[in-house]
Amino acid sequence: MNNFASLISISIGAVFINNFILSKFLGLCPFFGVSKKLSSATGMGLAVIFVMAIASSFTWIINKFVLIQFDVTYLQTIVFILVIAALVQLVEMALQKYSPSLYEALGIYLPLITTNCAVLGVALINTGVNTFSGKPYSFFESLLNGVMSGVGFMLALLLMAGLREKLELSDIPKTLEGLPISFITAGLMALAFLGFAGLNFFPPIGG
Amino acid sequence: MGDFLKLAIVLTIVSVTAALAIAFTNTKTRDRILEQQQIAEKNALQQIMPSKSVISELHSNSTACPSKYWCAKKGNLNVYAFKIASRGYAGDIHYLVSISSDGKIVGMTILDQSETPGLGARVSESISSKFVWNGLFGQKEEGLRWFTEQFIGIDINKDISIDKTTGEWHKLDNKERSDLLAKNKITAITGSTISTRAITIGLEKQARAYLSALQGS
Amino acid sequence: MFKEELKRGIITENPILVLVLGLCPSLATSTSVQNGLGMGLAVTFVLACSNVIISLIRKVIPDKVRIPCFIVVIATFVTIVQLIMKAYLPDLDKQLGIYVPLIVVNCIILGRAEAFASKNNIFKSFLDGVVMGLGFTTSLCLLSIIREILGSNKLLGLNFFPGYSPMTVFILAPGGFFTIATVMAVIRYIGNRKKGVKA
Repeated sequence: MNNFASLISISIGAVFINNFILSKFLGLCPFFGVSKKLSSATGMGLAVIFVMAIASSFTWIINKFVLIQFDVTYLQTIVFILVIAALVQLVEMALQKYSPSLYEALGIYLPLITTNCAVLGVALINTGVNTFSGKPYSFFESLLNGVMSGVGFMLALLLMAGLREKLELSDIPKTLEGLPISFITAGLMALAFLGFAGLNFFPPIGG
Repeated sequence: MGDFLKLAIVLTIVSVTAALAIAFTNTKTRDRILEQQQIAEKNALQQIMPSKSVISELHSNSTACPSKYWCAKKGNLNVYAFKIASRGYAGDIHYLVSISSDGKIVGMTILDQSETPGLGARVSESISSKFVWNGLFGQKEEGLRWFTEQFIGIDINKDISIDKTTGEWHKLDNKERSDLLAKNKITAITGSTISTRAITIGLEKQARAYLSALQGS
Repeated sequence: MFKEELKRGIITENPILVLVLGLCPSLATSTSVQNGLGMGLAVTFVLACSNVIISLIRKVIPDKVRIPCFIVVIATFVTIVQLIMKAYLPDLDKQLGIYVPLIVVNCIILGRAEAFASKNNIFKSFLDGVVMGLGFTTSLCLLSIIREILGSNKLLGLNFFPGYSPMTVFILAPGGFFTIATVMAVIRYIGNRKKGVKA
């Protein structure tokens, strides 16, 4: 039961309470670049979920069986980023070869994702301690965290794209056009999501 | 093939050089990093133990006692210090508390927390009376960590109740403060009862258990 | 020459406010001036060092593997900064958290490596790294000053306005967005006024 509770807590937490964009500021660069249309936002979102899922799994395995075993955790940063870069490269080549249609839809975003704070961010978070259970993340918990953080990212992206499509047609003062109004919009969304911080599914056990 | 080999060689050389640079830095900083943890622990202990007392570090194998704890003397009473972790709002709050053998808290300091800034995180806030203009060039003043200060003198063997109406401790005068202490009450942080209660529950449950185990052994 | 470069880094090509790069750490670490300053200087160090090394090896690296090589160089310096911080500034390291290793994916560093250091000599690359880093640090401090004063009524840990109850939202996520929106809008307004465009 406790395990199940932990999984739900991670999922809800990653999508709403600790939303990567609106709460942790991870993954902002593509957020403001790509979110102008709903279609490109969807493509980017799916690509990110996919990359975060495999990145979470691979980095967790390497962290546990290589870095900790040989006591070289200070190499975490450089190993993780190289693994992510290599993975994205492989995924891109595989997509190009085996699924050209999918490559058309997602392929252009993949190189952008390598330097996305969100992917490296979730890999690093997974090496830490699960705040719900107080123990380090297990493999499955890491994978779930990766996928759900990606879902949260995509949710924010879709919301933003929808709003921006409408904003394009509105009358905005010249000073605020473009980035300033986008940031204000993001701020208002972040304010709304802050409400989720009160979502305490499983009340804390003191002592 | 020759091209590929050249790429591979270049990458390998770069990676190996990088790894060597990092390993070198690591050997230079590793000891200092370990030291930092001990420095932090020592500072925390000095804050909560009676001043100028001799503090001895002890270990225990029994599950009822904390694995590492400290002992000092205050008059003819023993003072025990140990770490406690309580589940707060956004994770565990780690704190160090020193209790004399009559159950009264001698000192307490928050070691680690990741609560919401401006709300639960105020458990470790320090109220300074200095403003920027007189503080920057004047003497460095250690502000008042009121939340943990108010626990001094609280009896952990009795229930600790939380006062949500009088106001935060740092705003009260001496009479109001001694009234609260007489009733074994502490004031909550406005807007974060959960973080406040996490600590009182931790004291009532864990600290009480540790203290009786340590005094029994 | 140094003065022009400085103007370029801090004003005309300011990484955060003009080029809009390196947003993630900017909004996350600008909750207090101490954090902002620490982060900014760490980034400046990594930027300057990696620019120098990349400029040094730019003629030897084959074009096809240049991005992975850049990443390795940058990651090395980020790790060195991480270790030094953990050893000598552990409080700052705790405050900045995962944003220290995330310096490696800071778009500014890879961007400058690609756009400048791989095409210019060592001295110019070093200078570029320093001024861009200073530009980053300056705008980060600007955001931090606003957020720290409005959000926690403190500056460098000391109280600011007497008797002012701070708006906590400014040190939380929405505050970051609102602050940068306002700063950008003000800059836009000043720029527009200069060009004679009606707001």
